[in-house]
Amino acid sequence: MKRLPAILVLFSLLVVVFSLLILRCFDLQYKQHDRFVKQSIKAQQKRIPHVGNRGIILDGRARILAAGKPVLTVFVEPRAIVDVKATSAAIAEILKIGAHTVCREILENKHRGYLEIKRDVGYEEAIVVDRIFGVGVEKQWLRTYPMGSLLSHVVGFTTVDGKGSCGIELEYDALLRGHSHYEVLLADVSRRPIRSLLRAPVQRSGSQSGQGVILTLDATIQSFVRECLAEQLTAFEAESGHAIVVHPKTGAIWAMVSLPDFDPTHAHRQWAENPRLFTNHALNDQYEPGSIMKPMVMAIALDAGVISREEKIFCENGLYHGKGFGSIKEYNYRKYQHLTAKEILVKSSNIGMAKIGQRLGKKRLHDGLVRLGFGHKTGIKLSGEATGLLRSADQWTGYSVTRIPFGQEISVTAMQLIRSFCILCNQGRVVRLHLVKAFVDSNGLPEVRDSRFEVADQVGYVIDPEVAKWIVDDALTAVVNEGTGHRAQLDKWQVFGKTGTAQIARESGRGYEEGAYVASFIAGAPAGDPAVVVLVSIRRPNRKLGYTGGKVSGPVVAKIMDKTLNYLEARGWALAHKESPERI
Amino acid sequence: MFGFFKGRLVFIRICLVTSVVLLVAIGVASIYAVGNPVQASSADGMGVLQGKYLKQLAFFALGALGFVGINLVNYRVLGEISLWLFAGVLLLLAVLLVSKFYPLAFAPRINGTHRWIRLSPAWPAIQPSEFCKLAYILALAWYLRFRKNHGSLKALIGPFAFTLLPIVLILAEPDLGTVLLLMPILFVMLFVAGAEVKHLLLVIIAATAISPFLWRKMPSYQRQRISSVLLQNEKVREATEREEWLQMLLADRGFSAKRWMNDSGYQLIRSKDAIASAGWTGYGFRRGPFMKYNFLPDRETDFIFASIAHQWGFLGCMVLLALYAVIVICGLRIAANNTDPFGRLVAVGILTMFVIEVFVNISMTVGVMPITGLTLPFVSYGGSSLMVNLMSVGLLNNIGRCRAFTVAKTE
Repeated sequence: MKRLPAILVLFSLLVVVFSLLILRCFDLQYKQHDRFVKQSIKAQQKRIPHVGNRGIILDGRARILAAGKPVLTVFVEPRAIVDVKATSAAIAEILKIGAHTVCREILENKHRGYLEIKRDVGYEEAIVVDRIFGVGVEKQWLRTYPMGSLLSHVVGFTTVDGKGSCGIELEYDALLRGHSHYEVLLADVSRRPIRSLLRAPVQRSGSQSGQGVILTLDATIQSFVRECLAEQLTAFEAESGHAIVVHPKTGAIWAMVSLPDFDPTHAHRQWAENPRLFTNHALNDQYEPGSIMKPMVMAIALDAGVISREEKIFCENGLYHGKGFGSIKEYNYRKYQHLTAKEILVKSSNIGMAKIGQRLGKKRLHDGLVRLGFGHKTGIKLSGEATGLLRSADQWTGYSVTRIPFGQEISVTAMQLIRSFCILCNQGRVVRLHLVKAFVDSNGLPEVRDSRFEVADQVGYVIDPEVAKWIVDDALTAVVNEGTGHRAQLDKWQVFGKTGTAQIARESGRGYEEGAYVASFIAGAPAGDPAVVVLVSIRRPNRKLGYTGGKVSGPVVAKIMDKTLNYLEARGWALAHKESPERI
Repeated sequence: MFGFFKGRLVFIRICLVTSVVLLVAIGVASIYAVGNPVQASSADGMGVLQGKYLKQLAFFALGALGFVGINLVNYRVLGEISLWLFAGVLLLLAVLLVSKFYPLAFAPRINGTHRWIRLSPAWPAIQPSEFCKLAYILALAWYLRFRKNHGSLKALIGPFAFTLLPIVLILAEPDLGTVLLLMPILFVMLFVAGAEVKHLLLVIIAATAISPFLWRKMPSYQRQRISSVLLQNEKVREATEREEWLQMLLADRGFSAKRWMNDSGYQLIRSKDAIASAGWTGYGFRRGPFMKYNFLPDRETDFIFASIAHQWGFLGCMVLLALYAVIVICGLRIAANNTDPFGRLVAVGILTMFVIEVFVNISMTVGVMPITGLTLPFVSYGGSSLMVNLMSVGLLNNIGRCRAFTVAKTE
C-alpha cells in the first residue's frame, strides 16, 4: 500500500484548509461582528445636512453689519446628464449665462455627483430650471455684509463653506454658526438617497440659526472715522493708519478703523491678491509710541509723589547726558531751562521726562506701567491682538529708565494706549475695552450680557483720582490749547490730548529708520466729563508733507471728535460746552 | 433507470450525490434570494437578477444529464479519448484568442474579456475554460498513468508543458483564476502519481525565486488587487499612504486609501461587511441590506458565499463547508479505493479542483486571498461551471462504482 499515505497527506491538507476558513468566518462573524455592523450601516446611509442660518451681527444701534440671506443655488449632477450639450443649453437659456461655459464645466468637473452652476437664482427661474433632468435647486445661506468694507477688520468675513475666518466672525464662530441637523436617508450604492430612515417626517425646526452678536460699534461713528482717516492717508501718502474711538467710562469701542481694508464680500479674491489688506493695524501693530507716553508716565510720577505739580525741573538747556544713559536731546534741538510738570507736557520735553523717569526708578516706573496695562493684552475678543513689549525691570538699563518716559524702548499697541488714556479720563479707574454689547438668541431675544463689562466700575483706582483729573483737565487741556496739539482744538468743546511722533525702529538690529515715523494723536473731549476718546495713528506719512503727530493726526482727531460729539449731542447726550457754566 | 448507482461504494456515492444536490439547492435558493429580496421594488434595479434562479435550475437539469451521460460508459473509455477532448478544448480557447484580435460574431467581448462562445443569441454562452479544467484533468491523468512520464526531473517537462499550453491560452482571455487553479491540480496529481517530492519542491523554489520579478512586472491595478489582502488592514493602508517604498511595493506611487476603498478594495470591503454583519444566524432568507441596491456586486456569482453568509450567518457557512467536506471525503475514499492509477489520478484531480475553488472563492470573500474570478462550485450562478462540476461528480461516481482494472491480482 504505497499509495495510501498520499491520500492521507491530502486529507490532512484538507483539514488545514477547512479549519482556516472556519476560523476566519468565526473571526469575522463573531469577534468582529459589531464593528462590521456599524461599518455597513454607515455605508448605507447618507446624511444630508440642513444648515441653520448664521447669527446676525448688529452694531450698537441695531444696524445690520452681517446677516445670512437665503438664496437658491442651482446645481447639476454631471453623471446623470446624458446629453450635456442640450442640457447646458437649456440651463444657460433660463439662467442667462454662457452655454459654452456650463457645458465645459459639466464635462470637466471632477466630482461627478455635484457641480454648482449658479448662486442666488430667482425663484421663478429656479422652478423652471429644476424641471430639467439632472439639475437641482437647493437652499443655501449667503452671508451678506450691507456695510461693505466699512467694518471689514472688526466684523471679518466667512469662507465659502460658512466658517468665520477673521474678526468677530472668527472669534464668535461657534456661537454664530447655525446649528445643523442631519436628515438620515437610506442610500444606494452611488450614495443616492432612496428613502428617509426616520419614520416621522423631517422636522425643519431641527436646524436653528446661530446666536446673534450686538457690537458696541456705532456704524455712524465708524463711517466718520473711516472717511476722515482715509482722507488724511491720501493727503499724506501714508502707508497705513488706524483710528479707535472709545467711550471712556465703559470702555465700549465705538469705532475701530484700520486702513487699508478689504471688502468682506470679495474677501477671498482680495486675500489671494494682497493678504496685507487683512492686517488690523489697530490690533496687530505694536510700535514705539513716542511722546504719547508722557502723560501716562507723568501720572505715575505724580501718583508716586516723586514730583509735585509746582516743582520746576531743570531741563539742562537741551542736552542731557551722563554715564549709563547716553545723551538725550529735545525735539528739534530746543533748549528748555526750568519747567513745571505741566510745561513739560505742553512743550513735550524729553529731558524733563527722562529726569522724572530717573526719579521714579526702575521698579516704580515698571509697576506703574503694568498697572496702566502695558505689556499685557487688553483681552479684547478679537484674534491677533499684539502684546507689545515691556521688558521686566531687571532687564532694564540706564537707557530704559530715561527713554521709556518719552516713549522709546517700549513697544505698545493702540489698544493699550487707548486703555491707559481711558484710565486717566476715568479718574484713575480701570476700564475694560470691549466690542460686544450683548448676544441675542435665534429669535432675536437678548440672551446673555457679557458679564465682564460689569466689572469696570468696581475695580479700584490705579492712579490717584486727583492726579488723573489734573493731567486730563489741566495739563492735557493746555497741550491742546497752547502746545503741540493745537490742531485738535474745537470751537464748541474743550479737547485734551497728546501728540506723539515716533520713529520706526529698524527691523534688524538697533537704531531707527531714516524718515519713517508713526504720527499719533490721542485725545478726549469734553474736558471735565469726557464722553469720547479718540486715537489716530498714521504710519509712514510722506516726510516732506509732514510727519508729526500734531500735524498729521491732529486734524483727523479734531474732525472725528467734532462729528462724534455733534452726533452724540443730536442723540440727546448732555455734553459740557466750552463756555457753558457747568464747565469744571 | 438508476443503473448508474449500481456497483461498489454505494453509500459513499449516495452521500456524495446528496451533498452535491443540497449544494445546488442552496445555490438556487440564494440566487432566487438575491434576485427577489424582501421589500424590493422594481425601482431597485432587480430586473436582471430576478429570473436567474430559473436559468440555474435549467443548467442543473443539463448538468444532471451530463452526470448520467458520463456514467453510461466506463471511465477508461474517456481516458482513451481524453487527449482528443483536450485538443478540442484547446482549439476552442485558440478561437477565443483569435477573436481578441479579429472580432468574431460568436465570441463576444464581455467586460473586456473574451471568455465566452455564444453560438446563438437564444442559447446561453459557454465558457471553454471551464470545460478545459475537466479535459485537462482527464488528459493529464491519462498521461501520468505511466511512471516514466513523471519519475525523473527531466520527465516532468512533459506534464509542465501540458499545463502551460492551456495556461497561456486562458491567460490571454484573460482569466487569472482558472490559471491559478491548474497549477495546484498539476502538483497534487504529480504527487499522487508518485513523482519525487524533492523534484516538486525544486520547481516550487524556482517559482518563488522568480516571483519578485513577476511582481514588479505586473500592472499596478493587478498588484493592488493582490495586495488588497494586506491593504484591507487600516494600519497598513495608512502606512502605505505615508511611506513611498510601501507604495512602490504594494500599489503604485500616489496611493490614496480613499481611492482604494472606492476602487480595488470596494468589493472586498462590502463583501466583508455583508458576511460579518450577519453574525451567528444571519438576516434570514431573502432579507438583509446587502441583498439590494447593488451594495455587493456579483453577489450571485463569485460572491455568492457572501450572500449565503449574509442570510444564514455563521451557521449557514458551516453547513456549506460541511457539505463540501462530505464531497471531498467521499471523493478521497473513492480515490483510495481504486487501484487503477488513471482512475485515482482523475479522482484526485477533480477533488483538488473542488477544494481549490472552494478555498480560493471563500478566502477571497472573507479577505484571506486576493480576489480572482473563481466560482464557488455547485453554488455560484453559471451554466458552464455547474455543468462541468456535475460532470466531474459523475466521473467520480463512475470511478467509484467500477471494479478496478487490474492486470495482476492485488493483495
